[in-house]
Amino acid sequence: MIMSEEKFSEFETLMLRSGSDIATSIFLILAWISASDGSIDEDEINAISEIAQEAEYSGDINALVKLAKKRDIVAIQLASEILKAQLKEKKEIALFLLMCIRIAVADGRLLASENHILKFLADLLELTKMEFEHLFKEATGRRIPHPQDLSDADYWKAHDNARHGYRAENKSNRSSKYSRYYAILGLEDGAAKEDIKMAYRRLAQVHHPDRFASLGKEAMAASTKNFQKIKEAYEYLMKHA
Amino acid sequence: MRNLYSKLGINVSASRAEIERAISSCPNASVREHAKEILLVEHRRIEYDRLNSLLMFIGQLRAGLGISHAENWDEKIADQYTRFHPLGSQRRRFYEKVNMLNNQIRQQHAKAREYANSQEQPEHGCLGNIIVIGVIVAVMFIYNENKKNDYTAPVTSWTSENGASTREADVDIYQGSSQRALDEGAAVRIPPKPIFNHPPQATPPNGEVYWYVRGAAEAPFEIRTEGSSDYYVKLKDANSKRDILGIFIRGGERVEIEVPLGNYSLTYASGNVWYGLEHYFGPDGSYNKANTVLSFDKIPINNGYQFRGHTIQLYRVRGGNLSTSTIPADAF
Repeated sequence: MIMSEEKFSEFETLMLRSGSDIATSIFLILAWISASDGSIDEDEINAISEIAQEAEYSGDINALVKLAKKRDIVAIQLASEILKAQLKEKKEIALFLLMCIRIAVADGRLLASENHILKFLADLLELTKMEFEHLFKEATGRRIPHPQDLSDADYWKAHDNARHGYRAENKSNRSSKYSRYYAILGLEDGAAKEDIKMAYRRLAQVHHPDRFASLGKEAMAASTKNFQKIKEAYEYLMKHA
Repeated sequence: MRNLYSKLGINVSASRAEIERAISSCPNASVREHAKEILLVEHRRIEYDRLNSLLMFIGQLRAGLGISHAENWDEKIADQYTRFHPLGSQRRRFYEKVNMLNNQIRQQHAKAREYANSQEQPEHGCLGNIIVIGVIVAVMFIYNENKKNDYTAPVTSWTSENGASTREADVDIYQGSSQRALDEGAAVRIPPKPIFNHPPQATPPNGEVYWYVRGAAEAPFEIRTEGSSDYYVKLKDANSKRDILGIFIRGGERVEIEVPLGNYSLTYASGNVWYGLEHYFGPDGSYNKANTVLSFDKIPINNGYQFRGHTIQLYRVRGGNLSTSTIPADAF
C-alpha cells in the first residue's frame, strides 16, 4: 500500500523499526569494532546485546552484527553521519568513545585495526589528538600504543617469534578468568594487589554511571555495564589473586 | 603502514605468481624486501590484507565525512590511504526518503478521511463503511508506527561548531554541564521533535550561481570543498551589505567562477538537505561568516590589467587561510 520511489536499505530499515537512529548507529559501530579483527565471537555479541537490553533497545543486534561483518560502507558511513550529527556534547562523546575503547580492549590487546577505527571515531567527533589520548589513558590506564605496522617485516619477525605457533586469529586464548580480569583492569597478569586496588579506583571513577546520569537511560545502561565488569574483575582478583 | 599492493602496482587479489613477478620488477629495494616477507607468506598475507583493506575502507569513509585531513589520521598513513571519490551524504538521502514516506502516509490518511466523510448512501453503507474503516485503521497503524520515527528534520542544535578555525585544546573533556533536557520517558533517547516543516528541494547542481546584482564578472574566485556536506556561499558588498551573488557547491567538489570587482564579506552555509534560497540548509545546517573582507581587484600590467581574486578552502584545516565564526541562520 505504501510506495516509496527508493527502497530503504537494510540498515535504514533497522533504524526505523527500532525507533532510534542514534542507538542503531551506535550498535553498528560497536559491532564493527568487534568484527574488525576478522571474526566476532559469542562473548563479543553478548557484550553488545547486554548493553542493548539494559537500554531497552528493541532492534535486531544479530542483523547489525551481520552488516558489520560485511563491512557495508554505506551503512557505516550513514551511522557515522548520524553519530556526528547527534553526539554534540563532550560528555556524550566521551561516553560513546569509552564504550568503544572498552570493547576494543576487552580481550586485553589493542590491535592495529581497532586502533585505526578508534582514531577515525575520534576525528569524526572532533577530538584533538591530546583529548583522545587522554581519554584512552583514562579508560584503560595505559597510553595508546602506536598501531602495529603489518607492512613491516621486522614487526612480523618479532611477532612470529613471540607467539610460537599461537594463532593470532584465536581471540579466546585468554581462557583463564584471571587473564581476562587483569585485562579488564588494564594490568599485566599477576599484578600486585596494590596495583589492582589502584587500577580499580581509577577506572571506577572514570566509568561510574553517575557521571553520565544526565545523558539518558541508554547512556546509563552502557556505563553501568562497563562499571559492573570492572567491579566484578576487582572483586574476583582481590579474592583469588 | 604501507599499501604494498599499490607500491608494487598490483591488485589486492593478485595471485602468488603475479606478486612474485611484481616484486622482481620493482625498483624499490625496501618494498621488495618487505613484500617478500609478507605477501609471500600465507598467514602474514592474510592479516596484512585485512588491515590493508580496513585502511582503504577508512580512507574512503574519511573522504565521505570530510576528515581526510585530521589530527588523529597519521600523515604517512593518510598519504597511502586517502581516497578522492567520497560517497555523498547518506544522511540526507535517508531523511529525504523518510520525509517522502511520511508525506505519502499523511496523504493517504487524508484521502481515507475524505472518503469516509463523503459516504452518503446507507444501502451500500455497510460494506463501504467496513472497507473505509479497514483502510483508515491500516493507514493509521502505519502512520503511527512511523510517527514515532518522524525524522522530518532531526535537530539537536540550531547552530553548530564553526568550520575552519582552530580549536582550543580542552584536555579534561568531562567539563561542562549538559544543556539539553532529555526525554525522561524514552527508553532510548530520540531526538527532540522538530518545528521546521518545510519540504526539502532538489539539490542544485555544482557551481550554480544565483545573481542578486549583475555586474561585469572579471576576477577569479575558486572555492574548494571536501566531505559530503554541500555548501552555499554568499558574497555581500562589504560596505552596503547588499547581497551580490550566491554559489552552490556540492560536497567534495570545487567551483571556479568570475565575480565583479569589489570588496566582499563572505558567508557560507553548509548542510545536507537543501530547502531553497529562503531556508538554505534548514536548522540542521551550519552558518558561518569569514572574518576578513575579500577584495577582488585589478592591477595594471603591461598593456592591460591583471585581475586578482581568491581561492578558499571550505574544509577543516588547521592554520587554514580563512578565519571564520558561526552566525545564527537568520543573519546569513
